[in-house]
Amino acid sequence: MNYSHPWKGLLKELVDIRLNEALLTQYVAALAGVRRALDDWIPARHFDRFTELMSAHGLAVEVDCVFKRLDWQEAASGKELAPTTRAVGARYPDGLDDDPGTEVHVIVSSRSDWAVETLKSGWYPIFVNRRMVRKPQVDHKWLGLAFGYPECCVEFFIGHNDWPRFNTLADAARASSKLRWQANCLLKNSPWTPMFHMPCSFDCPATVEYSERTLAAVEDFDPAYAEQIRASLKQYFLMISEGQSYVLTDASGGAERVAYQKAVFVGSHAQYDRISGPLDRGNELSVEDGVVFIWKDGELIETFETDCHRGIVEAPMILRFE
Amino acid sequence: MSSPDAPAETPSHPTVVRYERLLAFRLIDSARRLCLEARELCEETGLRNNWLAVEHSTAEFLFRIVKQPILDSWVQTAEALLSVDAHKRYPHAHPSRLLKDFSRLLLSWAADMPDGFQGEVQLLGRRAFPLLSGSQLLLLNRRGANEKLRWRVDNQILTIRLDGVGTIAEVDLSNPQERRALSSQCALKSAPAFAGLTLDVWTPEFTGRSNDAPARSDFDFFRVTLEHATELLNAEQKRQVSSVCRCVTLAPADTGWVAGLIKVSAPAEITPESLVELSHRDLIRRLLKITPIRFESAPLSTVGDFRETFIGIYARRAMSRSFGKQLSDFDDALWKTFKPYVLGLKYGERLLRELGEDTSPPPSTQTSNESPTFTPAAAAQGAEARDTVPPPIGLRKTRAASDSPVDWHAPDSLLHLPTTELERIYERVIVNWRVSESSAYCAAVISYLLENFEDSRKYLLKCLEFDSDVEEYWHLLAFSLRHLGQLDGFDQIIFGRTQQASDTTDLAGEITTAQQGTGAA
Repeated sequence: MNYSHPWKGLLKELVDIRLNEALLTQYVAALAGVRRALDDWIPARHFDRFTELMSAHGLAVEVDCVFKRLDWQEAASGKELAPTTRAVGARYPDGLDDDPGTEVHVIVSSRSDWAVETLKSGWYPIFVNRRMVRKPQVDHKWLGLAFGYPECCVEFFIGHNDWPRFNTLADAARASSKLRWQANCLLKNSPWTPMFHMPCSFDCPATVEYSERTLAAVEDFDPAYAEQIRASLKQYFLMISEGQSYVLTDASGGAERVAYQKAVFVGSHAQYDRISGPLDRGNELSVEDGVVFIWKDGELIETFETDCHRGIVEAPMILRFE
Repeated sequence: MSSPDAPAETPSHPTVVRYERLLAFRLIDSARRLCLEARELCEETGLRNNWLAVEHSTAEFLFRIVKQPILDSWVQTAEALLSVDAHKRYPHAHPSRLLKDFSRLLLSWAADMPDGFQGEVQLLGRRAFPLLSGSQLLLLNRRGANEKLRWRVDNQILTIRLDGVGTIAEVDLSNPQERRALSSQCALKSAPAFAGLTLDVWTPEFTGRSNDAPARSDFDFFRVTLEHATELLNAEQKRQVSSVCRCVTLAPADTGWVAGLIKVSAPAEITPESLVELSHRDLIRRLLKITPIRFESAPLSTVGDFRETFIGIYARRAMSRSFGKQLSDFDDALWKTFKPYVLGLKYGERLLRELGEDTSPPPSTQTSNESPTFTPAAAAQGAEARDTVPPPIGLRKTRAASDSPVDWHAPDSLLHLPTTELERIYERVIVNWRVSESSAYCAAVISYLLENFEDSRKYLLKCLEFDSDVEEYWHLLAFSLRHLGQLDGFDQIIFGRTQQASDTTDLAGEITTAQQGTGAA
């Protein structure tokens, strides 16, 4: 595995077990009591190591179920209802096997009662016997509260988590008077984030406090990691939707037009990346009327027209977090 | 392989005429709604003024422009944006662009505008601009973002200027072949037409892309392929194709249907058979758009989306008849299942008749499997209920044998009601929960939302006594058990059942027994 940082101690063990560098700060947050609980997916073949590691650090683990690779031919209808769903569910431990793609969905907390409580709402949409199994929307609210996310953000998310009608990030941006890096959630799918929830605004005081407390705890583990997180968040971003966002490196400019060195996709899933190629060919971009204009040395070379009517509301914005 | 049934009579496509007449009303409705609900946006984008030019035109003009696929595309997009309130929530994203794009349509109708009329079109990165209802195109050699084309009609001459350049083109509207590109920045092109089909691979509303058009060699291949395919059509096939479709383009499959527009992802897909089949697909889509038919509890969900499958089979049947080909056994078997189902639906017979299909009663006694609908609001009888609950939503009962996801509209729609209102509805429905299935379900949903999981379990077990083959009951019961810490019960319901309805009856008994054992009944 290629590491993006010289991990050590608990963080390195988590990376090696989970084969994934995301969510590390949330484990730190759970240990430090900043968040009540988190959920994660652990490769089945490393599950015993994982439970031992959690036990050694005083973290409780509750098991939900087993996630197995999804064969799209087997899945019938319902895919559109949970666009990020990628798995078939099976009962634990019956569904365990040696397939590298098999994972155990778990709840982790510093307290066993919190872990038990979080598990109740912790179901994740998956296919079971060819049917997409989702939970009622109210369970998403209960889960957010059980995780320990700010209540304002949980309520905001419940009211806006409807991809065909709302763009949660655009709504959060519009609710902000400042774009504070501590509330920048656009890197949540990478290691470089102190938070994992969608904020109600990018200057939500509760979220800013959450991030700062988490970063203070991360600093105890790895000061260089904490510093890298801060630097990563204070950048320009092109946000189109929750699934499609890009960080613009070495960027300068304003909210209307930005010059950049490189654009890196940081969205939720690679399938949503539609303009890395065009962005790579340019060095400047602007946004107007839902169009991303890509320029090269002052000449308009390509455009990308976003839509609000094909199941995901795209509302492109240039966001600069400070 | 078996032969398809011969139609009762040859259809004459009154459907197309009806669709286009209705499209005119849809255009008016969309434009007026936008002007009413997004007044400032309509001013900023010029839609208000552009619409006035159309609104005060003749009915003849309206019924002519609705034949253009580009107009159908605009209306469909406007309706879709209106339906999700995008014009209110995100006005300066896609909605702003759509409203500005109306100016592109107006430019293509310049020949119908009075002398002295003028307009402007912001480039927005596009390079192709339809003229003369799409029969000609203005193609720019470079892109611009904020620059505008400014056009004017004087003495039947359409003059087009480009910001920063000057006059770039002139077209004699009384003799469109008389046209001049006056700048190296652009070209004027006639879109080739064969059997009434215009070939247009430039207009971004058709191709789904605003960047480069196909290479010249690819375009030539496409043109030759289309010409050859249309030459091989007989007179009836030509009439069928040209009376439904107007234009052919190159576009990815996922760019959505536009009435009158044949989309292929590669020129090699154009054959005489595909032209006829695609024209029938267009025809049935138009008919489904203007017929209020609902495919509820459609058969064979395992083949995916019923509507799309039905469209495909109809089109292949029609093509097979036209060319004297045999329909595949698979399609024939599906049609034999679909036909009685459709005939059993409201408007189903009318639909099939308009498609030229035989509507005589099917040999089997199979009837449509229409599900009853029930709503919590219907259960909450009383004047106050209408004030406190959202408008009733038709709910679906998902059967075990179906693969459809569970319908969570009931709990999801009530989620945002205040606790006091939920409690108020609850008090009304629990009076009847033992004798009314919808009352029991309503009570279960509200109990769940209020986190009274012992009660939701009780009411859901009652629901299962009324009808044990309802996945909504089973799944909500499963989540109730989960919240009660009874994860084994949750697992048993979610993972342990098969898609046999009989399974569920046994499990309900087990859970009831277990509940009684704990004294929680």
